[in-house]
Amino acid sequence: MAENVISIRPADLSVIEGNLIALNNNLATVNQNIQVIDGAVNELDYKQSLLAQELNKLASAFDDYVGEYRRKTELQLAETQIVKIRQELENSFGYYAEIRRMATGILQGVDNRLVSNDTLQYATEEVVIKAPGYWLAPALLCMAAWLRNDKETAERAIKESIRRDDYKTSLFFTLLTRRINRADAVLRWIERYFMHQNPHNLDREFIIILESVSTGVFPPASKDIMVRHVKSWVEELSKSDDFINKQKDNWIAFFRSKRENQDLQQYPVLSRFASNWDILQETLQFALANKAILDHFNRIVSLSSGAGHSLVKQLDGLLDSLVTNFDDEELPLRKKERECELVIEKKGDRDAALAILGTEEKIFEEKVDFLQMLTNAAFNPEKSGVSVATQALALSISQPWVLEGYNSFNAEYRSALPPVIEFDIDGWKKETADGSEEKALLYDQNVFYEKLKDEVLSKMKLGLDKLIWPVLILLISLYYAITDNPAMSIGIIIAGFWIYYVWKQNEDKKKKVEQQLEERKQQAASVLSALLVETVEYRSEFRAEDQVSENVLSFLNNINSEQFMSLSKGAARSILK
Amino acid sequence: MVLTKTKNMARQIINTNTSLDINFRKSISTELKSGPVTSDRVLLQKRSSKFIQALTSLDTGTLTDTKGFADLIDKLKNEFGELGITEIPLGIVSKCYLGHPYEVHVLDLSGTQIINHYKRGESLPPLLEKARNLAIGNQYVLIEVYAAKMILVKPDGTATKL
Repeated sequence: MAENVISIRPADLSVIEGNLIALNNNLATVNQNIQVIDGAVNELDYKQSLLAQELNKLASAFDDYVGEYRRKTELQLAETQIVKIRQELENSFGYYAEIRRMATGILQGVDNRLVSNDTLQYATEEVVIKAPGYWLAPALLCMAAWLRNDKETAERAIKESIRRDDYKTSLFFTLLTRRINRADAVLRWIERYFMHQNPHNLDREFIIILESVSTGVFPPASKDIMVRHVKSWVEELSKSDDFINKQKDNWIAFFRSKRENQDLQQYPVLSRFASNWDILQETLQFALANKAILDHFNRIVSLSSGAGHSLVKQLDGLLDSLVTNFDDEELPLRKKERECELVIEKKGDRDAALAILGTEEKIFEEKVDFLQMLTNAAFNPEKSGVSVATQALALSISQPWVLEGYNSFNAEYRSALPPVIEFDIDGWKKETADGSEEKALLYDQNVFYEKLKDEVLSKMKLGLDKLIWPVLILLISLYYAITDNPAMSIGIIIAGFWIYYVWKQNEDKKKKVEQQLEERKQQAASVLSALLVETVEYRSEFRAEDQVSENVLSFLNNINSEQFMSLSKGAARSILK
Repeated sequence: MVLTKTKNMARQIINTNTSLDINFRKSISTELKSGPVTSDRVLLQKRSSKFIQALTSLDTGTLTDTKGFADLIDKLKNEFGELGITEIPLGIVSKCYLGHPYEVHVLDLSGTQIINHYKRGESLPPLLEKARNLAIGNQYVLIEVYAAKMILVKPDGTATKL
């Protein structure tokens, strides 16, 4: 057994403990080292963010530099190019500019007869030699030959001018012959000018000619020519519904835009209690537009008085621009020149220059169809650059589709007008067509409140739960009072009072509720009365405002009346007859 | 031939004591076929007073037999033929003068070809319901309802598109 005894003695852990202490110290050292590294990393992070900031600054400075460099290069390029382009223009079309300068001089010379026929002949012949492709040169030669009665040369020259540019020659002679009052010639040229027009694609200056003809700046017979052409254009454009429907839609949108924008304040009860008030208000606001539309049309007629003097100026301006503006041949180079000019103006910013050029071109090339031109003139004469006289003329030509558009506008809001006014007074939902149903509605409202009262009162019946204790006490007191102790009758009295108290309280409550309901009913009845009065007023106002449409229709149907025709001197409505 | 029987008439239009038959179905011979879509300018021509008269007098009880209905369809065909309108409306809605509770009547041309009188609150066929509001107003005497548009006719025959 002795061998089996295991002797236990305390182990010597000092070595392990020493090692643990050393380990602990080492760990502390590692920890310190890590803290040092952490600090270093933080410092590095800070430096890195500083570096990133510096780099951003550098990148932006670099971008600026590149932009600046590009702009400078563009600017230099534009400056070099513009010189080249101008040289090319001078070489190819230098004489054109000279002719243009001469043309103005010749026109003035023709006006006041200061230049001798010989000088005119010499100058214009030289011009033809120097500018072989330019239409204006033979046109001037023709004018000079015409003035000295050299019919043969004049005819040859004019043929050449027409060959070079038929359209510009026609417009030039239309304007020139009007200026020097050659009635027969004007008519032939204006006919040619009208024949050149494409009703799908009209030039900007066309409206000036149209206005001049219609207001009598051109000889009276020119109106017949215009009427004939305009009539055939309208017929052509009316063949498909597209053109007319587009203008009709424009007019409908215009009529809608005349809608009253303010909220209608005169119907406080309807606006509060009618559940379809929004649509009621909107339809009345549209009906109120009729007056504004009538005013608009009346204003056009009342303002469109004589435009003669300014028109003559405009026609001269047109003639001036015809002889001074660049020719089509020059346009590609002129366009490049303008681009360079804009790049220089924008200090090398090519994108900005191209944006301006785009807008300029759009304005220059803006062409519209005949009907759109009429609509533009009728809506906004200032923006279209026409007088109110032309506005009236445009309106009278557009009359058929203005009328259609106006009828549709009326039909739209009439169709939207609710046949009944729906309302909700204190939870009682009903409707009225014209406010005449007061008796029936009051009866119905009364029934509603009676029902409500019944419902509420039925819920207020005295329940057994509130009486259970007093009844119990009553029964117990009664039992004891009879069988045992008469003194218990005091319990009967108490229970009796208790029951009476509970019943009384309930009755008071009922009375109060009944009173409140009665008040609600009275208020609701007065709201109903006010609502019906407002309904009558609303319907009557709508009818009156809608009736104004008859005046507008009568205006539009009589747009060819004498008063109106005197303003546009016969041209307007005869067009469509 | 008779479709519905009506009670509670406000005033008597047709002389019968037992029942009043106001809704009328076509005879088979009055087929109407719709052609291609007509241009707006053609569609908006003035309607003749004869046409308006024929369609607004549907309440007076003249259409008590098949012949009356065939005449009406003939008048419609003539009117549209004269104006060059090839499109036939789905139905023509107008105000009903039979008196309360009747509000509008409809000449349904969409296949069933029937004249129906509708009471207040009673629904019209789905495509024709949109014309009701305009028909009960006093501005338009007839509303021709097409698949994608309505032509509103004023008492003077002027037509408006909506």
